[in-house]
Amino acid sequence: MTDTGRRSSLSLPGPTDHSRGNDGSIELVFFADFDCTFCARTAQAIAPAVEEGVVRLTFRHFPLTSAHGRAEAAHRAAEAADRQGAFWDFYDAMFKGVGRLEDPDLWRYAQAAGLDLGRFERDRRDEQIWAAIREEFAAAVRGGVTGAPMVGLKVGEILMLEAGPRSRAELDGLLTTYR
Amino acid sequence: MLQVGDKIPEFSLKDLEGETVSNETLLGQRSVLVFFPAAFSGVCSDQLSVYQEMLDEFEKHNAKVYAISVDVFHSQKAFADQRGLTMPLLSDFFPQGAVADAFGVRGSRGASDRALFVVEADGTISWCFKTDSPADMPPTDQLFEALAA
Repeated sequence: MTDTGRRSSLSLPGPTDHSRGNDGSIELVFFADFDCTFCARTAQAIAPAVEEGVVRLTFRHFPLTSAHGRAEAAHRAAEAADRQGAFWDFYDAMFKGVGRLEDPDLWRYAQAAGLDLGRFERDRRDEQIWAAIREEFAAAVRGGVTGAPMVGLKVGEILMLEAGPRSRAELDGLLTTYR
Repeated sequence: MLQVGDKIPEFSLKDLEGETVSNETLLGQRSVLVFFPAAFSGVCSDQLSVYQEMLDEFEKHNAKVYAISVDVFHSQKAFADQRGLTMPLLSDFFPQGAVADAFGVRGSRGASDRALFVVEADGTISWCFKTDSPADMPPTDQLFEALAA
């Protein structure tokens, strides 16, 4: 994907989003599929910049379920974990363990995060969770996201869309462009 | 390339079920024609996977999606199976690229360009877009704005 630097009509990060990192740092919205190796590579490129306080990261769901067999289960699991305050535990675990997204893997991640497993199992089957994920996906497409991984960098009151950086060097290049 | 306000040309292609889809098939319904260069290429795979996920949204706009490439039927079938695509895929294999030629979106290497046409129920093109490069994606925001208009 080479069509980069595109202005979007996407909403800016808000209180209903999953966000982490220092306020006041560069806002980056990550559109990704948990069952996607390219997305995992972008997640790895972004993570150190968040830890260093350079980037404030917002995640938005972009599961391509027809192509990726465990995408729906993985995205549901992340939202179920969020109901117990563990969204980012799942984000980290699933991107580190991409390709290991079967139910026993998800239970292992839930145990590691200290979740109530019974509640986790009920919540991840809640259709309201899936409806919200689907709407987030559709809003992203309507706003200009054409695939995953993609990132949106906040410039003033808009998000500029770029292909997901494949390395820290590529991320730094984007940050330099939009700083 | 055909432009907004043009009528679509006569054409007739087969989908993966062997059913004929022609310009007459499109009359009376709104359609989105998706010309893509090649099955299994990375960009095409992403593009059609995203549209697959958005079929409900297309339906909300009373639009039916057809994807067209110069690939042979067997290649399209394997592509659809691998990517879980349920939209009609139409093979423009023989005479090769004749429909892409008719729409003016045949690329220099024989495959079609990456192009979209929104076709209204009377066969008139109401929106269209061709990317500068096959590696680029058409803007989904503009597509859905056009469908919502």
